[in-house]
Amino acid sequence: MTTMRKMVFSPTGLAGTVVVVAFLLAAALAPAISPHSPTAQQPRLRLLPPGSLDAEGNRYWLGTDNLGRDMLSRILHGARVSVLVGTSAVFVAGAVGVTMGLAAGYFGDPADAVLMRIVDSFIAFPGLLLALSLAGVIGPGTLTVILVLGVTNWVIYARVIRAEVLSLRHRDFVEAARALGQRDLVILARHVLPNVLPSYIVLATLNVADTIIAEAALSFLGLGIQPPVISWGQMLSTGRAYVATSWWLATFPGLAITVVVLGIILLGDRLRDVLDPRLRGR
Amino acid sequence: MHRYLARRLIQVVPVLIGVSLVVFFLMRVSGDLAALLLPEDATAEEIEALRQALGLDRPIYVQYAYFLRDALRGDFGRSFRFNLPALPLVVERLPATLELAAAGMALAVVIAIPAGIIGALRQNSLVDLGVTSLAVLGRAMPNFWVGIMLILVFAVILGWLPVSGREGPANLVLPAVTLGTGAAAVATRLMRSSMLEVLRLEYVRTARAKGLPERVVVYKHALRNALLPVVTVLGLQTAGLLGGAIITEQVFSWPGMGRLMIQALYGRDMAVVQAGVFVFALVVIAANLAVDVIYTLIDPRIQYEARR
Repeated sequence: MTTMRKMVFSPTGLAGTVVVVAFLLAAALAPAISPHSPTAQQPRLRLLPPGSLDAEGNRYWLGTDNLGRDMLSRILHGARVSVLVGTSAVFVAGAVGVTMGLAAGYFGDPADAVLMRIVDSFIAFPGLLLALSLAGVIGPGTLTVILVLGVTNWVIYARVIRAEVLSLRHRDFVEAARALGQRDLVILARHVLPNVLPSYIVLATLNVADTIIAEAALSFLGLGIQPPVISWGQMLSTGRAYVATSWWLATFPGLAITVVVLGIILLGDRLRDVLDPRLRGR
Repeated sequence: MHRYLARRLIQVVPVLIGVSLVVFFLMRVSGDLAALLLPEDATAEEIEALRQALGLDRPIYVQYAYFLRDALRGDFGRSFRFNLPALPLVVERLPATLELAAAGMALAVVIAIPAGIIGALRQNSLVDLGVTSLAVLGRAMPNFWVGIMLILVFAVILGWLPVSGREGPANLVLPAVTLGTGAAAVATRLMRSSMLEVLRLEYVRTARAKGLPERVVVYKHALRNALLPVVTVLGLQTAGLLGGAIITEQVFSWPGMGRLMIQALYGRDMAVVQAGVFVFALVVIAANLAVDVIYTLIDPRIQYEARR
């Protein structure tokens, strides 16, 4: 409760929370609140500017795209993929990364040495490069995007969690548990894990923001989400092609990404201040 | 200093081995490598022939040994699209990518350092609020969208700058701004917080107490120490910057390595993908080494530690 209260009693934390809640609601309610079908092609209504009316008096608040589909409805539906990929990929990355970080930090060498070399090797690649090469090799699609972003992001968790565990390993309560003869797995689960949880939550929140951008990037390049599934990155790719004539095609999906990512960053930064006072202001 | 560098160079070896493993397995997660390497209309006999030629019927560690041997010779196979060896094809595009990345990085530094200093010196003022808000916004905007919006404003509406290609300096402006925005945002935030931290330290107070002008305190005493973490992070940003370059090149049809790789991925031209991934990793490793050298130049303590 205090955490919640602290979140809300900061302008940026409040703004972030509002944006994230709106984003989640948009994703959940997209089919109910969309004014038009996001996929119905209407050749006669191609590239209508924002605010246009059709012959029956229907309003297209954000205009229509190159196939006459309503932009607003597509953006609302696009939020669903962002939520799905953002949370699933972060879950995959977190599951792998936290496990590795716990093992390396707690058991030390040789597991630690091996893990750190693996981490160093992964860091040598631009993350996006590895993700899109993998996506290209496996073949694009929603599941691919979740997997490749999970696989390329776990390193972040492994590093941070390892460092935390290293500092916890010789603390009194861990030593005491060990002296009492508790098994390593029990110590890890009951004494170490709860203490790294705040860092994990902060990291995961901010990672959702990066993952949403990465998904958009992959889809923009045609190596991510494939039609008929709607993604903001895909919409931007069409927008790039029509930028000379129809500005709204690229402007609105990008604005949607920016606002959502901004909201998540503000929320994450505030969470960090609340959960992890040591990192305040960094 | 030499000793320190030697040690750093030795540390690169396991990373290179790791990189080679990642590249090796990258091509194997797809299942049938032979089918992947050949164009999609290849016959079953062609695939079988290539599988034997590549030694894919042998144990995996033997395959890796052969891969490593070829990689050390710079042989990543031939591009079937260009019918040329893959590595030279990639290396040929390297200067364009480095030019773009360097311009983006330079822009980020030129923006971030003054902006961060001003934000820190006037903490909690309106200027500071502006600086920090822009930094957060810069981090939230996907760079390829920034690129499209820049095209919209400066090429389509104002007509000041070209949309795509690499013919002259004017072509570099929009891609460099696109790429530099994100790095500038991260670096500004860090420069500000680092400067704030340093300004609170005892030696800065001493410098002020002995009556040095504020300008000297800030720029001669504080800045040098405040820059250290910024240099580290900018170095770590190289990988991110190159990742950003891939997509920026696509937005602006910039003829670099990233664009070549995307086209190779579309055409499943796997030799080029493999060579490209490898060269990108080498550039990142080299950049990180370069950062370490710069680091020893601005922070003499590192040399002392290495000497001990």
